[in-house]
Amino acid sequence: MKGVLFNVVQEVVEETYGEDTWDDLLDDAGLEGAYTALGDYPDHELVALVAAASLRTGLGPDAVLRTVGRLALPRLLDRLPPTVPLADEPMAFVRSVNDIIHPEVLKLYPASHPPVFDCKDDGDGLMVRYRSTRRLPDLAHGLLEAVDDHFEQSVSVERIADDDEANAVFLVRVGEA
Amino acid sequence: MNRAGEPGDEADRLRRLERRLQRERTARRTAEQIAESRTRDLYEANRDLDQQIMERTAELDRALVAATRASETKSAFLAEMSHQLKTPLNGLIGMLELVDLDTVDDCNSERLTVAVHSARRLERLISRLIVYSDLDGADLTRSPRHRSVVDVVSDLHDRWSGDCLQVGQLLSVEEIMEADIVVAHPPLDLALDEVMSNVVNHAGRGAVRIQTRLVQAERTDEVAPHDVVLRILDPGPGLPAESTVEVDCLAPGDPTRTADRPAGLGLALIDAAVRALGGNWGPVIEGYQNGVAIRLRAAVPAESA
Ligand code: HEM
Repeated sequence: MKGVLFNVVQEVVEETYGEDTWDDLLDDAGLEGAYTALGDYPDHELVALVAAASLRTGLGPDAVLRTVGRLALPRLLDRLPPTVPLADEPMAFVRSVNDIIHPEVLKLYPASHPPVFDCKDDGDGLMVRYRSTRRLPDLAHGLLEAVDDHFEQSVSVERIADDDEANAVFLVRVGEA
Repeated sequence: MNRAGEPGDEADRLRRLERRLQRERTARRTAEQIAESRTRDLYEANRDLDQQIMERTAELDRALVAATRASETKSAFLAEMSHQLKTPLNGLIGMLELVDLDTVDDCNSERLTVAVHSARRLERLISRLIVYSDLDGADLTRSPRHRSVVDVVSDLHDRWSGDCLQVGQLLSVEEIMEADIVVAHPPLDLALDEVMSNVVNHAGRGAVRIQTRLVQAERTDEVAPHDVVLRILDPGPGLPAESTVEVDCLAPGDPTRTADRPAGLGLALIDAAVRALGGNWGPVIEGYQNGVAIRLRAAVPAESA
């Protein structure tokens, strides 16, 4: 996993719980934690951090990842160059993750492997299928939920199918909190 | 969750700070290594790119030389062919003209006149054919030789007013524009002569008007923001509409303009000349007067540009 994701998680933890908490999480997980945005680090380091946070907070790992995702989106968006065109409405934005944002990420962070999001109109909503060998659908869930805050519009994200962790389906709707 | 910072835990504080410092150091070192390796990659990519650009430029140069050579070969071939065709033809015409009309009877004298006339037509046809094959597909827009529209039109009037009068046509020039709008190249004269020859031979008696006007170009081209439209209107029935395209619909340089090719050498010559100049042309149908419009880029003369 790219270091930028660890940087963002660190920012989220430090800003929400303080710098010491980040130190403690690293200690608990037995990690050095010297993350550099362009560096590559094993996925299990993220899993270990989430497990440590889960132990300390009493929340399940899925809830921890969802919360991290929710808080991470604005920080990830800040890291995109201003030349990347951003959609100005929630549904278009969700589509653009797969069509614009992650393709740009591939150029910005060589050798990165962002997940695939297949989007399909579904009546009044958007069916979003997450596919990734990293198996982090809860992170995706949280990031999708953050679209709500980003546009200050109520957006609901419901996980409707759970084939397995590498292949989850969300139904995203605007106007339903 | 956050127990650090409690009074008396100075050692823990120090340990944390030391670890953060260490983390920052390691992260910085990694970042520097990544930056260095990326810079090297970029440097190598740039070098490859330079090499590619050099190779492409050399390739283009070679293609240009080949194209120029091909064009020169074509011109040389045409010049040679023209010479080879015209030499026997001139001999034929010369010999026919040398026959003393007084020595032949009326019947043969008429045949002789027809033969000379036909040979002359053949000579003109060959010349035009050669000009056509020279112009067809040529691009003269890169080497423009500008002339004032006023001069082009007034020369055209001078060349044709006599012939027009002989067939009962009154040739006039209207809407002359300011003198400093320039277009053209010798093929424009050729195209206009073809139009006029058609008018004189087929349009019948009446007024023939040459009109010029300046129109806003559709393209966003700061260098040549205007087009010149030259119209020659005559009392004849006009060109069949399907033989050409409507001139006002097309901007010069429109790639779709290769769609229709007019039939007949005269029209083909007009077409090739106007295309070579980067313009387009088409019929004008205005009820009692029909004709042809030619649209070309207007350029500002070099001294005032
Ligand atoms: C709603 C918006 C987004 C969603 C749902 C989303 C989803 C995800 C998920 C779930 C991952 C984890 C890897 C995986 O599961 O395979 C990921 C990775 C990543 N995303 Fe996004 N993302 C979003 C927006 C962004 C933005 C704005 C950036 C801008 C920098 C970004 C950059 C990255 C990067 C760098 C990775 C790591 C890829 C790797 O390590 O190979 N994402 N994204």
